[in-house]
This record gives sequence, structure tokens and C-alpha cells, in this order.
Amino acid sequence: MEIKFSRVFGLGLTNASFTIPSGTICGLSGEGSRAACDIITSFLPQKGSVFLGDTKKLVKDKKKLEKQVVFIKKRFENEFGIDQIYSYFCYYIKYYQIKVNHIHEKIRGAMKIVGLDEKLLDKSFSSLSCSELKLVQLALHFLLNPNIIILEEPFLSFDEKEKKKVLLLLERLTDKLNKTVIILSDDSEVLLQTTSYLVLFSNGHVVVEGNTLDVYFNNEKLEESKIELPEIVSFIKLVKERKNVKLMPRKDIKDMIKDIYRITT
Amino acid sequence: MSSLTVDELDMKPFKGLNMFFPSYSFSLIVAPSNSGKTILMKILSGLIFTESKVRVNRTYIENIKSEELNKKVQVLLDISSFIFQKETVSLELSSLLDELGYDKTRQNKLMKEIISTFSLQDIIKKDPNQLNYYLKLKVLLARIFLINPEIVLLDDITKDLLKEERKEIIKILKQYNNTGTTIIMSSSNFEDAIFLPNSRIYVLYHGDLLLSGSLQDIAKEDSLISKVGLKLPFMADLSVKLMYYGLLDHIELDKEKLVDILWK
Repeated sequence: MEIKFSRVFGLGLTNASFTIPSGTICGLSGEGSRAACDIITSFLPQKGSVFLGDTKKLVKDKKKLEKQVVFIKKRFENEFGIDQIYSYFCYYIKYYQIKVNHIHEKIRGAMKIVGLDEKLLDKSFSSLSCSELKLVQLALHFLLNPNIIILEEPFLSFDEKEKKKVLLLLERLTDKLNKTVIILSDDSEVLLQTTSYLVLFSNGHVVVEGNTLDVYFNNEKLEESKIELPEIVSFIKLVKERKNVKLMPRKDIKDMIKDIYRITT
Repeated sequence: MSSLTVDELDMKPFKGLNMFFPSYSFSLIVAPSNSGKTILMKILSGLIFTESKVRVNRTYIENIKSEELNKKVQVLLDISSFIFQKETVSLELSSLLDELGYDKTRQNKLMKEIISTFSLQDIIKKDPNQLNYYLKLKVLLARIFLINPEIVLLDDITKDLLKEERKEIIKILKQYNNTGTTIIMSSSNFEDAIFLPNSRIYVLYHGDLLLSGSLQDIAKEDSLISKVGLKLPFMADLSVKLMYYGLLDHIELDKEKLVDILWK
């Protein structure tokens, strides 16, 4: 589901216009990115237009649009004070009035989507590792079958293996199920590695939007706005400035090294 | 000042673990999740009881009275669940100084210093329980260093921080290390090593000590590091890979120097 902002003012945003393509993993970063996410998920008043797909976001469509978007916070918050995971899932389904034929099958299905063993359902949240907890958090929100999934700093405190696990899941959601995934993060390394589309904000304004590699490699506006660049991007730019050698834009260090080898030997 | 020694620790998940943290050192223990970082910190601080395994200087930790141990060794574990008792940051710090028995003149001096060191001016009147992770961390560290311990143990405190925040926190910790505090910090993020170029690094994996040494020494074991789910800092990773291609003969952490070496 595509998301379109058109001249939006409010919550700290100033004249924000951008379009997040459907079925992508899009990064939102900078001062104003959180406000943009709040506007997508809420029905707070603002000037300008926000479209979710073809539907303009209006208060009268609240019921229809509410379940289309989920916001997954940085840290899991136990809304209901239930520690056992299976019981929590059951209560969640009841609370959000999610229509199910067979509740157990629904819960098993959600766990399967995120690649977790259903045996974890018998455990308590406090016994889970960071990545297990994040995946359970995702599984819960997937019960709502949203079209837009916003994740706040989803990879914090993960090691590389765990990051890959979560990223593979997000890629499956976009590639196979055409969900739109938004990663809200100020970590440029994470954004470079995990997103295909970026919208960067500064002081409530949209500085630049576009394909992630293009945004980081081909945009002078970033330097003016003092937006932090990923290390590999800084290095490639430094090589150009210092030695006038143009390396290809790369995400992966191994690819860059092959380029360096070809040029220097 | 004090050193910390671990002798043949045999307690799940550790098997015969030996570690030595000299006085005045700033050590970094890097390990992926579920490798025992938190358990190790609890053992080193005496929160988990061990017998004849952990020494502060020459004394086994179980033989140090708790009041004395509290002054010598401070540990910071799970920050997000910590609940401050006072309504403002100022009260939180001043009440601690009262407990430590300082007179008003000394209290004022210490408060001024700690507020300046940790840049707490803008939050001094705020409710510490309403602060974000980064600011909460600063207040907790301020509390610890008001106690002026000899050894400080920090368990994965940088995990929820952005790069600039990590850099700032480590810079402050280095200041205290320079004045004699032994600091042992665990982390799941190897990037922290970039800010500690002279520190000894220990790589743990499921209770085993895999590697120890400087970043330059450890970086050469990049495939082992990758296998256990860790990622070297960018410049270390780049240097190692360039060495495989015969384009570099040492680990170079400075970007400009590396560019000059590659394109002489």
C-alpha cells in the first residue's frame, strides 16, 4: 500500500511531501520522521493530505484504516500484564476483536510466519532473548494483517545473526505479501543495509527521498543538512575527494574491495 | 586502584574461564546475545556468589564486606527497568551525596562537577523516570561516579544508543579511567571498540573466551568473529579484507591514512 503525504503541516512537520512506494522497505530518518509516523498511525489533526493507498486519511474512515497500519515500538510493552505468551495472544485477539475461525491455528500461523517454534508459546516473555521477543512482537501485530508495518529501531541490541533473521522476514513481507514496511531509525548503517527507499528529514522538512543508494551517494543536500552518512559511503566519497578516484556506489564492503583491487592493480 | 581477576570459573555457561583486568585498565568484553555477558558482570560484582573464583586485587570477593564492596565495585545492569526514587535528577544526586556523608560545601562542588561532566544542566529539574534511555544512562553513571568506586562494571549499556551518543558516553568513561578507575564494559556491538583504541578486548561466545587482545590483533580473526554473529568495525573489517587481497599489510583504522596508502 502506497503512502503519500502532500503538503503536510503539523506535529513539527513543515510542508512535508513524499511518497513511500508500495511493497518496499522504506527508511524514515531525521527530525520529523517520528512525526510522520505518528501522522500515519493516528488521526491527529494536521494540514495537508495523507493518502493510504487510494484512500485519503480522514477521521470518518478511522475504523476502516486503523487496522491497516501497525506501529511496532522499539521495546515490547506488555499491554495486558499477562506473562505467558499463549495467553497473551488469546487476549490480544479478543481485545482487538480479530476474527478467527480457530484461535490456536491462527496463533500457530503467526508464529510460523516469523519463524518461531510454537513451543515458545508455553513460555513467559521474560524468558525470551531480545530477538525472540522482537519476533513475538511482530507475530502479535501480524494477527491484525496490516498493509503497513512501521518498526521503530527494530535492530537495536541485535547481533548480526539476529538482524539477518528479522531482515529476511521483513523482505518476505514486502516481496511475497506486498506489505509496506517502514523502518524508523537514525542509524545510517542500518538504513543503508536494510532499506530500498529512504525519506530523510531535517527540522521537520523533507530533505531528500528516493532509492537508498541514490540518496546516500548522489545527494549534496545531505552534507548541507549534516546528515550522518554510512561508513562505506563516507569512505567512497573520501576516495573521490582525496584521490579523484570514483568507486562504484556499494552497500557491501566485499564488493567495494573488489572495485579497489581492480583499480589499484 | 584495583584489579579484578577471574580464576578457573566453572559455572554455567563458563568452563574454566580465566580473565585478568589490571588496575587502571579499560576493558571491553564483546559478545553476541546469550553469551553470558550479564551473568559474568553479576559474578564479577559479587551479585552471583562464587567461591575462590573472583579476586579484587588479592582478596576473594566473597571475603569483602558488602559495604566495602559497594564502595569499591559498582555495577550497572539493566537500565530500562531501573526506577529512580526521587522526583528530580537534582534530588537523586544530592540525596546520594547526603548518604555518602559529604558536607554541603563538598556536595556543591561535586554536584557542579558531575553536572558539567555529564552535561546534565538541561535535565537537572526533570523527573529521571521520564527521561529517555540515553539521559537515564547519564544520570545512572553520574550516580556511580559520585560514589567514586575503584572498579566499574557496565553491562551492555550502549546497546540502545546511537553512534554519537555511544561516542560521548565512552569519552566520559575514558576521563574517569584516566583518573584511575578500572572500567570493564560488555557490549554486543564491536563498533564500541573504535572509541577504545588502546583497550584490551575480550570476545566471549556461549561462555567461552574466544579471543583477547587489541582490536588490531582480534581483527585478524574476522571469519571467527563473523561466525559467532559479530561484526568488526568498518575500518577494521576493511583493513583485514584488504590484507587478504595483498593491498595492505597492517590494520589501519584511520580513513585518510588508508586512502593514502592505497593510492600512493
